[in-house]
Amino acid sequence: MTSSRSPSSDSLNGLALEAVEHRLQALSEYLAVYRAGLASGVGGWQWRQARVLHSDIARLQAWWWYLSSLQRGAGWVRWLNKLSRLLLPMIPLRKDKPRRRHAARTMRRLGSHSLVLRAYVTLEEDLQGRLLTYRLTARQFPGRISEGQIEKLEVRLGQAALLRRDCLPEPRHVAICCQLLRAVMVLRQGLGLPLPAARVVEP
Amino acid sequence: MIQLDAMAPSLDSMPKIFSLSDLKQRLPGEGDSALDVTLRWLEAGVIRQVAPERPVFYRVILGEPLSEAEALQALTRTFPSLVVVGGSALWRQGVSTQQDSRLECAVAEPVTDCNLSHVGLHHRPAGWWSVMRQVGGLSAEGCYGAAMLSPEMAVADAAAFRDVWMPDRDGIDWRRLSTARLSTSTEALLPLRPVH
Repeated sequence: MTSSRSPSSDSLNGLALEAVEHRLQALSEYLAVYRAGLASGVGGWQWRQARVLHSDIARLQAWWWYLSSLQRGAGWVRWLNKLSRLLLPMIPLRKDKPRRRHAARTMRRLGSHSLVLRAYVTLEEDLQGRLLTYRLTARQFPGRISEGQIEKLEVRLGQAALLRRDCLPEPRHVAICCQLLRAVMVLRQGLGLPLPAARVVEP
Repeated sequence: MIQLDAMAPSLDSMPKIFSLSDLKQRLPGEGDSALDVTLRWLEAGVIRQVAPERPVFYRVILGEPLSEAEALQALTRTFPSLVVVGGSALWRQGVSTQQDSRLECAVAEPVTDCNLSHVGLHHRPAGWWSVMRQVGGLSAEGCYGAAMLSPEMAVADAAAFRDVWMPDRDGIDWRRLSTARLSTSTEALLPLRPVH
């Protein structure tokens, strides 16, 4: 997905963008509620949650910028990939422990790779949730959902599974891209330049 | 099918509220069979989706409906932006003498279908959560981990959007509301007011 450009890799890249936008939307909503709570005097443990969410959103925004530039065929992506290959040996391999839901009140910070993987997994699970509704409706009320609709969704689900299994680059490459692009985004913000922004509705 | 049965965890071993990822963790391999197991449970009517098309489920146990804490846990897992609003927020903060018959909640998503009985979901526009942040419109206590409007904001929000259940005027303990905060809340929501 990161090097060759074919119609199928383009559609997978589009799905990856959708997954990241989808996850950004959910995280922005959580953050909006936490921030509103903090402004209203809700307990201090939410400060940490808000900080973790803020960092997750910034890194996902950076990954979205990388993906959308890749899809547009922006020249700098090739240079970034080359730089990443040079830096890779200097970064130690690190394995994230999974962040279980509701295991603790405070969230642990995820590595960039796990964060992006989580976005892809979430899209896949959302598509599975939709497929379950479709299949159940089709069995209970034949005619309401057509076979074509189900097949179309199954194809998308297959693509989402492929995306999660085979199309996520090396963890250290994701980490380097996210960190570098995040730094560039901070710099651009400081200079008052427009920021690349994902299609996310601020709640 | 027999193989699937042998591998599938029993429904009793699942929490009352669970997601597809929770089920996948209990299945061998990558959890590819999770979809088939869930569909069978859904068809049997022993579980339901919290909201259509969402991968979060609750177990249906006859004579044992979800408690309010469980319902709110299911809702916050399904809708990240969930906030308890209207008469439900007033009753839970002891400002109203009339109890709500359904839990009134606001979400950012335009889809407001929900399979939980006694829950009403209402869409709020972009900018509503920013207003809550600007004026500190949430209650400091919350409700079983879910965010909840302060009494003043609950009244202002109900007046602005007119889509949530509210107690009669006499059912509200107005002495417990701050006039200044009520006025600030009403003013802050003015730009978001839908045209009725």
